[in-house]
Amino acid sequence: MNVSNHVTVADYASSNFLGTRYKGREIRLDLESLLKTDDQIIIDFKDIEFTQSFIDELLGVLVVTSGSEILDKFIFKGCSDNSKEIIKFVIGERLCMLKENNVA
Amino acid sequence: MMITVPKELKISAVHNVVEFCGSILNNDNIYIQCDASKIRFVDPIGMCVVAATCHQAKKIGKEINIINLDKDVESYLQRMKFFENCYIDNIDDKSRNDLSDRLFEVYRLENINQVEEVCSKLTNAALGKIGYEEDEIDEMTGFKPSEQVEHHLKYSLSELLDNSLTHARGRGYINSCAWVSSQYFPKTDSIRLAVVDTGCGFLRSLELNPKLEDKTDNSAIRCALLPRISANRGVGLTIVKDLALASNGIISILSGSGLIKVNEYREFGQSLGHLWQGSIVCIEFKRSKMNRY
Repeated sequence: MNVSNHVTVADYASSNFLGTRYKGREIRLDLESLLKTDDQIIIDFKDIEFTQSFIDELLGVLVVTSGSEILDKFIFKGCSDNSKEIIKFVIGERLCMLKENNVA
Repeated sequence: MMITVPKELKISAVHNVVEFCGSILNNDNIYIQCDASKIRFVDPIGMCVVAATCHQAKKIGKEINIINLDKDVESYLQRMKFFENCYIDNIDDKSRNDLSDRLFEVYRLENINQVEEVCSKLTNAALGKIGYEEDEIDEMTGFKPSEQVEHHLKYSLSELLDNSLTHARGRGYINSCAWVSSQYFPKTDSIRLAVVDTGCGFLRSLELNPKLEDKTDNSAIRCALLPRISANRGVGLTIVKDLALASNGIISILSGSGLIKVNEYREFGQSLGHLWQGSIVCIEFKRSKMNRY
């Protein structure tokens, strides 16, 4: 197993706050490239606060396009309590949507 | 062609502002003169709505001149960078002092990558240094109350602006922009924060949403104020509403011909006689009450 490329989210930010889908997409495209060769990626959110929109574009879209199994490829690091709640919420919502679509 | 500018370009007279803007955009004449002699009060909403209109007018080949502007009003509008966004050629620009902890001048967002920096500056102008020295760190969260308020406001503004630009462009309004401004009025301890866009509006954005009760602008605005409504179950508008209500404030939202105002006691809805293509959001709150959120 090829482990852990390390993606530092702060490297993509000009401040300690990331709030747009635009930025989420930029990082997601890099993650998708890394996933072609790496089985696991560490995503380091240290010193960064973010919004639902950002995380939805970064991770939510991956869940919708690749299924919930994609989450096994990531280790999240450096999350504040607020950040953990946002990630949990966004992923939870997208997993619910996946389930509803599969049932329908 | 001479059009008279209303005496108040502010949120409580937004119906007059929208009517005035409509008279510019729907005018058959290319050269339009605006008689500004009656202007007595302008706030961030008035400036953003008129700036957006002038920008659109310029795009469709119109030229606007403002005449008979009172010197104090002209000075204020220059301070707020209003004319930079209006392509008004007959007013000269002047230098300005840094008042970034109480006002954020009119700013036009065309690119999504401007959002984060603008939100930080808007938040700084809205909150200043509330609770700066008196704050103690909350043991549960590890943050000071003022830091939490700052985070919530920046978060919700970012969601609002991201949605403003993304939804509109996703529905074919590829040239839509957003205008923002905020100002702190010390005499009343009140902050007025404006977010104006020329996008698709709430009705078009939510037309397929099952929670939309009927296909009217006011119904769409009410739907947008519910949590978890947009595609990613967003909460930007609801957090901003909660912030306003928790600090004795008001949120006013206009889209199409609908206008909804909400304070902590009631909600008020109105149908305007004139249309705004896009949305207008004004948040008013008391700065000293913001720590209550």
